This record gives sequence, structure tokens and C-alpha cells, in this order.
Amino acid sequence: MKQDTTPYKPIDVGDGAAIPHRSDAGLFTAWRIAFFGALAVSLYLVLSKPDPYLAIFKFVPDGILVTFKVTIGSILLAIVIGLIAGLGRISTNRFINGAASLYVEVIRGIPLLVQIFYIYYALGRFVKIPDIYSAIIAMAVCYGAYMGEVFRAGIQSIPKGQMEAALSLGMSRSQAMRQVILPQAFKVVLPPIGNEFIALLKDSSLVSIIAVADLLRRGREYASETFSYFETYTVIGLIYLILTLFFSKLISMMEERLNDGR
Amino acid sequence: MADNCPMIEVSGVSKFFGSFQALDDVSFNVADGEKVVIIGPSGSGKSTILRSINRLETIDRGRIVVHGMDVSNPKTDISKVREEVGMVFQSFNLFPHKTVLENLTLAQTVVRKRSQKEAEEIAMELLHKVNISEKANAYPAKLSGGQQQRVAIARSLAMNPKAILFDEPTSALDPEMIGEVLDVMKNLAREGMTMVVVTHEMGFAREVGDRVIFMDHGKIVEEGTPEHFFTNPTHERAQLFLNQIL
Repeated sequence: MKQDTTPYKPIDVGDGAAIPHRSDAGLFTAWRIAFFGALAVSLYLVLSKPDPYLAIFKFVPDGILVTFKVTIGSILLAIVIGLIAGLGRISTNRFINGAASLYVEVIRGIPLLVQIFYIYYALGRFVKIPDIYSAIIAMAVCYGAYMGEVFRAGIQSIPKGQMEAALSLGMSRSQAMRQVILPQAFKVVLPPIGNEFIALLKDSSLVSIIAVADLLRRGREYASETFSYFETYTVIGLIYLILTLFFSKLISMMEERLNDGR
Repeated sequence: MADNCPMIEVSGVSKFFGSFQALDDVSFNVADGEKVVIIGPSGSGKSTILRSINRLETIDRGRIVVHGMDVSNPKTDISKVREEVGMVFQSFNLFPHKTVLENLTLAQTVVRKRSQKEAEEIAMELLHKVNISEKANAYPAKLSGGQQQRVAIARSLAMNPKAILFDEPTSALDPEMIGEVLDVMKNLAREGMTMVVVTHEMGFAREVGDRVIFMDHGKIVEEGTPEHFFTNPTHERAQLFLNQIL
């Protein structure tokens, strides 16, 4: 007999980065139209007007690479910070809990763009580090707060009986957390982390403000040299669209595989 | 048995959930090897007192001593108590991300510091004992409720506990699976395991219990041998309860 009572409560932590599901026919169709449409438009522009468009497409790839570096570096660091913040938020120790809650509330209350400026200039007063690290730290500190809430929700979605069973076997609270709760929570938080990844990919364009040569920054450089603002930002928009749609599809496929696995 | 030093000693225990009094001056002892069955209507505090014994619930007044360790003293390392006192839950609470075998070996290696090999040998032996060794490498989700509960009992046995607490172990099971779980528990009883069982299975209470404790509104209303309790309960509330369920 197969029990369909999965012990996981679905958690709902979103920020507008929609990941299409096969069951959501509307969004799924929209995904296809948007993704293949964006590819087709790009191809059409390059072939029909290679003068600015091909040149733009040739100019920006190293910016895409920087965007990837910032996004991946930030998400990894944000996961570490988020895990610590999430554990802090459920801690029974009042000081740790207070500190983690304060971090989450303060960070969530300040716009990311302001944080990027702030960390860039604040860090710059004390240490000289490459701009890209400053950008990654700013993004990670910000997203760590959101990620902390994702982890908190994920851990709290694991039924209480799991912790009780582990404790009853003589495990300490931290052993139970590591061996029993977190491995289950990671599965639950994977979809929302995917969401955060997409959101972070888009928000990484903000770091162009502090001299990091990401995709948007490269576009600005090209546009200001050639004055073809409209064409350049058309291409930049298309590239971001293709990237986010591609990754959201990839993430939804990973989710499906994960769900099939159990 | 050594009645002068009971395995579990509960004296004057009271507990409040807010203004609701869940336990009201509850006292009883469980001797080494004794099987005590706690019954009563829902909300009578029977699960709460059971969960207090390994401090899954903290108590507000009174004292609980398990195998010489004072559970009610916050300074007591509760892990040491829990290593010696197993617990079986109504909802099984197997670890869904681990196989049946891993469910049995986890605490052995992490808490008892046994080698993986030794832990697996003990685990397989116990899975044989509860008659489910063929599912060793399956995940709990693939098992029926009765199978899951038998694995949960084996998991608790793997720690070589001195006593096991059963919290309504058959209440979440389909009727046709209750028997297989009760059989495992009866075997355990025959081998001399100290057991405290909260249950609605009156047949089990009668057959296996050395003593029956009947609780209502957080108090022990009646206590005695199953013979006495089921044939001639003195308290009116107990009579009423028996009339309703028998």
C-alpha cells in the first residue's frame, strides 16, 4: 500500500519570479511563446539588421559571464547566510533569535540598490576588494535575509514528530537537526530557492551601478559609444528574458524530477 | 523484581497548558519488567503523562525519576534518559528520507557510536524479529501503516532500551493492521520488556497488562490489575467508560 500522505506541507514563499508548471496551462503556454518568441525576435534582428544588432550581440557576452559570476556567487553565499539566519530565527535562545530577526527585518526594509551602494562604499572605506566581490557580498547579504525566511519556513514545515522521534532516540537537538530535519527541509526549500535564483539573476543588473561590467553595464557602455540606445536595450532585455525563462524552465524540470524521485 | 527501585517513578506531577490543567497530581511507579497500560477518554492526560516521562513535555510540579535519573530536574542530561527509554508514536514518525535499515542504524551510530557494520547487523536481526526484513532497503512511504509501526518499534529496540513508551501505537492504523503490531508488542512483553502503553485496545490491556491505570481530567481515577479493572471497577467514571467502549 502506498501512502499518499506526504509529510511535507507545501510552502509558499514567492517574489513574483514565476516558474511555469505543466499543470498551469496558461503560464506554460506563455512560457513557450515568450521563450521561443524572444529567440525568434533575436534571430530576426540579427539577420535583418546586422549592423547594430550583430555588433551588440558580439559586444555583450563577457557581460553575461559577469552576470553569471555575480548571480552564482551571490546565491551560494546567500544560501549559507540564509541557513544561518533561518536556524537563528527558530532558535530558542533569545539573543540568537533576536539577532537573526533583526537582520531579516533591517535588510528587508532597505532597497537592494541602496544596500549595494552602502556596502560598496562602506567596505571601500576599510578594505580594498574588487568591485565584483563587493557586489556579491551586497547581493548575498540582501538575499540571505529572504533566504533565511525560506529556510525557516522549510524547517517549520517538517512535522514536529520528526524532531520528537529523533530526540526520543537519544539524539541531541543539533544531531536531530543535521541528520533528520535539514535533509528533509532542503527538499522543501529547493523550489523557493529556485525562485530566489531567478529573482537574483534579474536583480544582479543592479550591480552595474557600481562599476561591475555585467550584462547591463556592457550594454550601457555600448550604447553610450554608439548612441543606439533603443537597439542596445532591446537586445539587453531580450537576453535577460531568454536567460530567466531558460533557468526557470530548468528549475521546474529539476523540481519535477525531484517529485518523481519519491 | 527489585520493587524498591522502580524503573519509572512518577510522583505528584501536575502540568498546565495555559489555564487548562492537563495533569493533576499524578503518581505511579513502573517496576522493572512491568507492563502498565494507561487508558482513558481523549483529553484525559494519558498521552501527556507518557510524554513527560522522556521530557517531550515539561512538567510544572512534581517529580519523575527514570532509572535513577531525575527527568524533572532541568540540569539532567535528558539525552541519557532517552537513550534508555524508547518511544513509539501514534504517527510512527519514521524518517522518510532514510531507508528502513537506515532508520534503524542512524541513532545506533550517532548516539551509541556503534560501527556501521555492527549497527546493520543489529538492525537486520531486529527487522527479522518484527518480521519485515524483506523491506530493509525500502523507503517508509512504500510501507503500510502496520509495517511502518513495526519498523518504528524495531528502531526503538535498536537502542537496547530498558523500557519503551507506546503512545497509542495502533490508533492510526487500519483495523486489519492492528493485529500485526499488537503481536509484536505481545512478544516484547513476553521477553520481559518494561512497557508503558497508552492505548484504546482493551483486549491488549487485559491480556498483557500487569496493571491498568485509568485517567480522566488529568487525574488517575482508578488503578489496579486488569482483572479488577475490567470486571469490577470501583469508580463510576471507569464503569461508564467501560460501558461505552466494550
